[in-house]
Amino acid sequence: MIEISINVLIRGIILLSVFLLFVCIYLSIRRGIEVAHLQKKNSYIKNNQTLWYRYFRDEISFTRKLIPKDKFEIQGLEEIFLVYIKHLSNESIQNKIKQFSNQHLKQYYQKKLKSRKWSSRMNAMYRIIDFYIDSLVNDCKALKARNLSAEEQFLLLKIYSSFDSKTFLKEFLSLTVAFSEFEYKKLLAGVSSEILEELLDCFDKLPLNVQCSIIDILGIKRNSEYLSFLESMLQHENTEIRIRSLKAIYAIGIISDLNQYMPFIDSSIWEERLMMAKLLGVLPLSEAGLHLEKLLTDQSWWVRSQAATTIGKYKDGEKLLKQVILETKDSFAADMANEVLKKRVY
Amino acid sequence: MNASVVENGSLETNGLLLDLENVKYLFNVLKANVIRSRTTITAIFIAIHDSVDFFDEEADQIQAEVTKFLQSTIRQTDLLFPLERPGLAWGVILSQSGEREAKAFFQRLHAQVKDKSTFLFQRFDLSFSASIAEIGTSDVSFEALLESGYNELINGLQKGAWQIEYVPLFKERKIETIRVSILEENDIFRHVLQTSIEGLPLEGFQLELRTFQDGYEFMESDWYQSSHTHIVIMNDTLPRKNGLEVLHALRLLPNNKRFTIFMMTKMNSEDNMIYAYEKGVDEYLNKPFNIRLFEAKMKRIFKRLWS
Repeated sequence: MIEISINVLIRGIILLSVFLLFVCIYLSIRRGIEVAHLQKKNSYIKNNQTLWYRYFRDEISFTRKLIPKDKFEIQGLEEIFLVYIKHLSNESIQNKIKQFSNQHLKQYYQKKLKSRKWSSRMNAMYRIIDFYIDSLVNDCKALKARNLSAEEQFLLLKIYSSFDSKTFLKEFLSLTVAFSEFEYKKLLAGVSSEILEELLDCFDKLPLNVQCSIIDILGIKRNSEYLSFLESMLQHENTEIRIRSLKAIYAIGIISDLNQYMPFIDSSIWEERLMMAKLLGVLPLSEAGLHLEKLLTDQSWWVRSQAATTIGKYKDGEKLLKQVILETKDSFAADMANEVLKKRVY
Repeated sequence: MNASVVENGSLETNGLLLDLENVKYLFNVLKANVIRSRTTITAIFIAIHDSVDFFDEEADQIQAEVTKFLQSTIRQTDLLFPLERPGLAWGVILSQSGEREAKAFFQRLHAQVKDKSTFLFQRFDLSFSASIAEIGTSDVSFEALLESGYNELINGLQKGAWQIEYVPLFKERKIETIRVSILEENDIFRHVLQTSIEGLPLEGFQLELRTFQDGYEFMESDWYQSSHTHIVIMNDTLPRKNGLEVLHALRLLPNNKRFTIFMMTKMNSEDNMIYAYEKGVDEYLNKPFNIRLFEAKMKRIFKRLWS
């Protein structure tokens, strides 16, 4: 059995108590400092949010009171700017934020870009994009010399797409990191039509998931100028490209010549027939009716369901569905027509 | 065809002129509805210029013919009645109308007389003057209206033919309290919306504004249960209870038409927008939106409340 004298025990307890006391004091001081920093940030917001509001509305001219004095006030300013950028914005507010940030926040983010901490660099890049700090593009380019993470490369491309389209194209076409389709779409959603045109010019040289992302973006943009490109993609050998193109054309909502779509009604791939069941809805019922009736007897449940839903959306769709129920020998088609009529999915 | 009260007290349209007692009764019903329906009514008093120049027989014929003519021009919801003075004179109460509509009514009469569109106007060289009283308050007696209308009509007659004089006394509306609720999680954004709404110029309204951090806090309060006209500005995504849940709860309330609901979103999804409109949203704002556009929409809502 180990024997410890009372003296040693008491000394040990005192030592540990003193240590605990120091830890408590240290934590209290740290907490106090954090609270003070938070208060500084909050008091900047409280004192200046109305001034910023009035400045953005041209009710007052710029005042030096708005310039933050330290990094905590900058954090407060970031919150104010982000609210305007994400929730309330117009060209005038964007220009004011851009001008102010390029003038008064440039040095702060420049320093952060050079930081050894990954999170500091990432935050700086996010803010450069949010606050349109184009004067830091060259500092961002200098980052290339470093061993950058995929996330940083992604943000760098975002910065180039906003401020330097030539560099964007060069870097995008020589990417060594593979991004997910979601990330490609995020990158491409904000690019100018000039960049998009350039990417369409070299479409065949791009990897498949980039090609698919570009087609999806063309659908999101809903610009009929891209219709002829999308229609040319209907002959593409890759199934995914063809299906995505049909989807994008559906989003644009124009069928220029039904004949080039006819093969998809009899396609062996059910997704293509499904997209046709959707796409035919952009034509008048007099033109699309027969094809939709055919798709209503399709072997795939999804195609039948979509065809019935599309018919149901027409003004005379209900009449046609009732007629199909009475006349068809295909019980699956009649069931689907009945289902749509019951749900009244119009 | 104008409305009249028959002996047993029921209403019917029979083309007869109303007597003043009946008009007073109907006027009191109409003015009581002014605040509730937020729609002004307007009285127009019309008199023939220089009516003393006619012989008695001519005067009787003119009175009957003009009455018939006026009856053919008013709507079923308007009231036509003869005035005892000055000379040949009539009163018309135009429901759901303002000064502008009354002026147009008088200008139409002017055009018809000028074009000599009826036998009456071909036979007699008639000219009229008018006074117009817009009523935006229920604190006005029929007698006071008649008195003020008469005084201004005399002014008009003195100034010359086809003059219109206005009675401003009953125009001023009672200040109405409107509630505004802002449901938004972000403190700064909430403050911006609040400052923006508080800065809006208001005519005839005063605002009671409250802000909430989420839908649950709003629904737990009894703030939305009053009978005030209530404008709700909320985000679609909110902690605890989201915008759609609040929308659904508000639209299930009786008399839910008092709510005008603005929904803000950053999702930019047309399907969500369609769904929200179908569920009863009045205005949709896609973020980021222009604060001036938001204010213009709010001003339009305030304007639309009074027609």
